[in-house]
Amino acid sequence: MKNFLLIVSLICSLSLYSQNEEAVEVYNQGITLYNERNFKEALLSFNKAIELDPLFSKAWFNRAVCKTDLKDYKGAISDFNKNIELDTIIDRALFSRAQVKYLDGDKEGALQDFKLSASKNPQDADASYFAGGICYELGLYKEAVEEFTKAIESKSDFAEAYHDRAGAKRQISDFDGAIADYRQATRLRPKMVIAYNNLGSVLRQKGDLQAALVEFNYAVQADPSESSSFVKRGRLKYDMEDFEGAMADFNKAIQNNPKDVYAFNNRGCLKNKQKDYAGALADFDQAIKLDSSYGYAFMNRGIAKENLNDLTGACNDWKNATGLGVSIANQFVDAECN
Amino acid sequence: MLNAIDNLMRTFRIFLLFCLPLNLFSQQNVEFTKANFPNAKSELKQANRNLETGDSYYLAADYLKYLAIDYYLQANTFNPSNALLNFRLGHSYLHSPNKFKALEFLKKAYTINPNVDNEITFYLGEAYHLNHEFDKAIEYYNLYKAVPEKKADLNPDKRITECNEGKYLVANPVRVLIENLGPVVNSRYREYAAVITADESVMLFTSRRPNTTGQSIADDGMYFEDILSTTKQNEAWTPPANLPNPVNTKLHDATIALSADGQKLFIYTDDNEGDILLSTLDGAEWSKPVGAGGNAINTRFSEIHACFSYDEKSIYFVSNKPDDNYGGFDIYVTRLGEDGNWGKAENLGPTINTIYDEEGVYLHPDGKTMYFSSKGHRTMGSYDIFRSILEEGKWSEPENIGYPINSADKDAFFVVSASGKHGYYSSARMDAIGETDIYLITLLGPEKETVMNTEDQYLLSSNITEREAVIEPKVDRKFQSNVTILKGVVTDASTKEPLNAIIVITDNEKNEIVSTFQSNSATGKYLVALPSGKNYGIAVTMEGYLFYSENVDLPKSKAYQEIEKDMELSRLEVGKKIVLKNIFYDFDKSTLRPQSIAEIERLNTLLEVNPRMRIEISSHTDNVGSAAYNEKLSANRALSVVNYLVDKKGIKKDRLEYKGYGFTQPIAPNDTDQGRQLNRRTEFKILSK
Repeated sequence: MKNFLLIVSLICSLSLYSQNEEAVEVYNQGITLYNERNFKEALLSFNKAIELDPLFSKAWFNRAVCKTDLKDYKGAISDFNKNIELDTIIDRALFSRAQVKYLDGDKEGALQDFKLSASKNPQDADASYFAGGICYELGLYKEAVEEFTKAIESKSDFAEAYHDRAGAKRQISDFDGAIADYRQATRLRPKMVIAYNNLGSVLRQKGDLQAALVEFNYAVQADPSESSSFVKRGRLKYDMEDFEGAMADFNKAIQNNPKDVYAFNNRGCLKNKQKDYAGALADFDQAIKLDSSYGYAFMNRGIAKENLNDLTGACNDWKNATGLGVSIANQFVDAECN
Repeated sequence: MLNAIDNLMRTFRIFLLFCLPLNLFSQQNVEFTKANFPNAKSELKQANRNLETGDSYYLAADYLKYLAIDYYLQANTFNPSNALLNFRLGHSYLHSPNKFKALEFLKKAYTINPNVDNEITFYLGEAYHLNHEFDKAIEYYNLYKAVPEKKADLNPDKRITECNEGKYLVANPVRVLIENLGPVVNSRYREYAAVITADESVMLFTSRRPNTTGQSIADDGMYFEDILSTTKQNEAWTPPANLPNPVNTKLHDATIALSADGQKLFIYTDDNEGDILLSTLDGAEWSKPVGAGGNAINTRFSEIHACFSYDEKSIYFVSNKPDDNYGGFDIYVTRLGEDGNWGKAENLGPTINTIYDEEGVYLHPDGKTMYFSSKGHRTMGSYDIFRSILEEGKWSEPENIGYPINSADKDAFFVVSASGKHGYYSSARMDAIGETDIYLITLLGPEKETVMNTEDQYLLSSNITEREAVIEPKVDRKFQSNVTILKGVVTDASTKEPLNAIIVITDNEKNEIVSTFQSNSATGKYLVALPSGKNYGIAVTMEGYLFYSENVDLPKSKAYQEIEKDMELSRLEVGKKIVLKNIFYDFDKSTLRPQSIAEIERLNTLLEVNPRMRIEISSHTDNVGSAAYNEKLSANRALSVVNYLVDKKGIKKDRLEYKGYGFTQPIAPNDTDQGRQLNRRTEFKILSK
């Protein structure tokens, strides 16, 4: 989950929830200390408030938030539980507990809390949206589509939910549905580069190369400083046998991000195709330097080495690629390296 | 201004008028006469002498024409504008190893006088053809078609078909690396007909270099052929040595084929219009060559090539005998009968043989691939090398193995290593050290496809990225070899002396002997080729020794591998024991599988030959399961072998003991699959003899 999901925020003020004035005072001190990012001192204040008024539900909530920042997730969950027990409006606590459970690695628990939070507050599109994200992570793609749909029903201009629903639809091979969602996401957010890129990828996989090119062009226009749009468009141009255009795109991707392993790998493939084997070798070298677990770069480098008549080097690379899970490299080893 | 242009044009016209006759003059024929060379009397005389000598070779016979080249070249240096000389020079080159050099002289002859010879358009077409300028070649072959009174043996239509094939093959080359074997092997004379052992450790070839046996010159002006041998040491070929008498004689002695283990050599002799001889390596000595294949191969016609199949149970050979012949030289096969005699030769049939010549047959050690040369099929010119695969008893449609291995010139004598990675042949390529050299071809197969990757981030709310699934490219290796080379040394277990043992290869599934070989008496070395797709029992036997047993299980798809296995034979002594590696039981049972029969038969033979011998059969397990269970299982397994010998072979029960040792005597650690497999075994031990 991205960080914005993980920021559990404090309840400020609301001192009237306790009749104990001293408790309210230390509670407010706690909020001040927390806002100064002095979490340990803030925790002590909330401890004191709870000690003075054990039924002070907001103090429980804020102490949970403090504990979250101090990475005491179990303690935080326990405090949220107490808040839920004491409070009448609990959707916010459920939402926050879901976030902490997620941070604690309990995705199933987090999912339940997000769903519960959404049921308590049907207007909260975020709870369903995050529930959808967790379903996706758990491989429950159909359920993810349902949760994202709820989020969209709560908030009809929720571009992110359209985008992510498209991703879940891709996983269940509903490509037409994915295309429609990506298009809607770009309509709602014309600068959403990732949506253009994903839309281009789906269209390319469906074989509609011209339509894919249009989307990648939009992606490149929306953010010319990004590298992955150029990598994707370069690959598409390669498929369309526009080798010159592909080379220009891979070069631009590398210029934008000199650590883009796919840009180096793919440019290596193009150079290999153009029989510039030494150039291909250099690119695969760079891809491997950037990511030593990149199996296909090893496999491809082996091919470039074979083309340069370095069979020993080729076999070493294919063996490495096999070890990194590229099964075809093992067939190369069998065929060429005995 | 106009005036200036007018002046310029006038000057240009004058220039053209001046040039035109000069140009015409340069196309004119210049005879070797005093009138044409009034100031070069002695040079003219020398040139005419060179012409005469050249003509004496040129007019004598086609195979002598190449000898005219040096003389013609000298005459041509003196007078490069004689149409007939240029024609004959070009034509002579067409009969030399350097055929591609014919083009410049034939072009010049045609420019000077297109009618210098009735066949010049054909030869010009041929010269373009040999230089792979196929469209020009077709143009001249078509011109020749219009010539009245053509030579009957020139076939422009076939040549045009070859050119079209050449255009396709050159546009779709196979990926190979062609390397000259270098000056250690090649000389400035002709080297050709390289033959190799399956593992490429030994190469024999034919050369016409000066230090041949007898050192005399044949009537084609070259030294008589001799057979030379070289071995590979540290990845380099050693300086070749001439095989001693009785293989090399004062006359022609030429390599044809070497068996996979390098122990048998087919030799060509001119005798009897061309016959095939066989010499066998006995220790360090090659035997006196004798006619190969009994009465099945050599006839009063020409037999020029032969090759053993991997199991040495068939000999494929080339003959132009008229029996059952499709035209010219055809490929035949003779098979070794049960009685030890070679059977009646059979023509391989019209799938392989054409109305044109086939020759240079080579059977790969994989037992199913045949390479041969042909002027027919889809050749791109002269002989091309073709490959055919034996599938369900039938040879497949021959496939041209492609350019640049094949060229428009003659391509023949192609042998391929067992690995399928290397081919050897001779050629007169541009970088040749001599007239023809031996080249190593690394067969790379089609270029492999690289794989591009991209990844998409499907969720904004997650950092999870999805790398696009890759449809992995096909592995297409045309020269993929499915054969295992098992090699090593057979020695006496005590003295470590090399042994001349008999190696019997059995197909355990069929309980059939696949082939029988012998290890070399001087070195103990052996090599056997085992095509994938069988479970092989390998039994090494020698009189006075316990047999040695090995098992090699090769699934059909098993790619090429080399296994080095030295085998030690123990003398028949009390207490000696060996592992019977070809005895198999059903899983977790004591029932013998049928694949064990051959091994038990060997045991039976040993007991029959040594009637007083008593043995113990013991069986062992791995450590999976309880000790008691394994002990019982192993005892029952040993008993199964004993029962077979008693019940089926009639061996007296009191000569046999059996014992189940369970897992008490491991020969390997039980912590790996391989170790456990080694521990699951049946042994026998000599108790008395």
